[in-house]
Amino acid sequence: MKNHLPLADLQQKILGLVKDSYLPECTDENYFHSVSKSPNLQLVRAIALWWRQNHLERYCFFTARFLKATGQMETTTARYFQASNHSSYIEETGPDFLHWLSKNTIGLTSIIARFELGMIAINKNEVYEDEIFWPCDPFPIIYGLVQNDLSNESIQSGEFCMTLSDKIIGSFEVEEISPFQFQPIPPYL
Amino acid sequence: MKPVLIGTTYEGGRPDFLEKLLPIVDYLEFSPDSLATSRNGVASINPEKLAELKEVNNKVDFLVHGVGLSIGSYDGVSKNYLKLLDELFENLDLKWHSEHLAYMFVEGINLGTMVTLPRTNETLSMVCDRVNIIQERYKIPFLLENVVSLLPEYHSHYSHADFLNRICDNTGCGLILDIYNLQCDAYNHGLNIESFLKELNCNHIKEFHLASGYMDSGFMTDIHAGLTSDTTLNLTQQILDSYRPANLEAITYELLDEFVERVGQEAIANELEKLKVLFYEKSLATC
Repeated sequence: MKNHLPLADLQQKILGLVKDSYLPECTDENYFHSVSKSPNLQLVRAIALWWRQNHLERYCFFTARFLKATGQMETTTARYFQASNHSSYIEETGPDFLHWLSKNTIGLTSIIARFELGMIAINKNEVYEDEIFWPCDPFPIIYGLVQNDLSNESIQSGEFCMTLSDKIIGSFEVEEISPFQFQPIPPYL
Repeated sequence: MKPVLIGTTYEGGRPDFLEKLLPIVDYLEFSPDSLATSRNGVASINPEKLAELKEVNNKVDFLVHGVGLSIGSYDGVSKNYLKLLDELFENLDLKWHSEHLAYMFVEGINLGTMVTLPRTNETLSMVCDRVNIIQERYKIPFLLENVVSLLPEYHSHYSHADFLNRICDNTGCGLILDIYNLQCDAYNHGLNIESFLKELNCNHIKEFHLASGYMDSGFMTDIHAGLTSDTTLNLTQQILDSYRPANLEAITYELLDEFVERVGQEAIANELEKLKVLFYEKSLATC
């Protein structure tokens, strides 16, 4: 009968394979080499990502719709979840994901994540203040995302300052600003 | 004796759906994980969802079916999950509770899905110890469910059925037999369902799970996204006829909350009525 690897070693190696942080070495059992090359491992990763995307779509539908509309959903969420450990609870993963997006992406992706982060906080009656510069008119984009019909026509040129606050009725105000006041952010689209 | 009970999954927050389900089902089955909320790493049951369940506590039975206990993690079960379970026990009358025979966390890191365990002596001993502790702590029946194997199996001391038999014999816990999961294992890994059932002591089975899934990259997955297929219903009938699980008490139709609207509340209600017609009057209890 074959010797069995202790459960701890087995599970640590499986974790490494699922997280793509471990490559079997020549001293490892054939089992790990075959798992690492198997379509099964890709399936496990795909199912894990599917669950997480599913939760994110429910938590932050603006950002999720934007990521989907711009073809970034798969790669961005995979990059986020592969990076480190995350809470099992969407109330923690959701804001962390939006924070991560606002810091680790550029242009409208970052802006929309920051906008939604603020809206969620205000809807939860938290004290919140933020000022976001948009390199285009936010309203057609917000409308496009609400309707799940974002298109290039939704991106209308202009420079706008959005103030998000729990003290504003409707949660935010938008003001068009003149070019010399504008702090440019490279647009995604 | 009552005939076999028919129930379904419910994750809270859909009062209109709950109202539709109550006259049809004998019980609702929910997962502490999907009722949970969390702040600063500390999990608790969402107060609104708990209030909703308390409201119907005397109208329907409750079964708990966990996802996040991770009974097979070498470094211990999830303390967050136990805390959630404690809270449910304090607030609701639960008939029994259950978990998947798998692990989801390794050193606190979430794998994102459940992974099956190697069926070794070490695992058997560890799982039995934990089942004993859980049964001692909660004092109501505890069941384990067979999980779909996604990864190729690690070499084992025991067959699937033998491993389940030994856990139940050693601890006195019961089984949920997920019939769709058996079909997935047969399709994905060539499990011989007939041999499995012949070897399994079917008297350990207290509950059946019926569900569906979809094909992904050539694999049959257990994402519970739709109505139960005829092949799953036929296999269920065959198990009832051929193996006569004497302690079977309940049949649960599982559907993820994410798919309730897509499947449709009316279709779900019809599915439950269909299960009643098929199985309610045909349980051993009424034979």
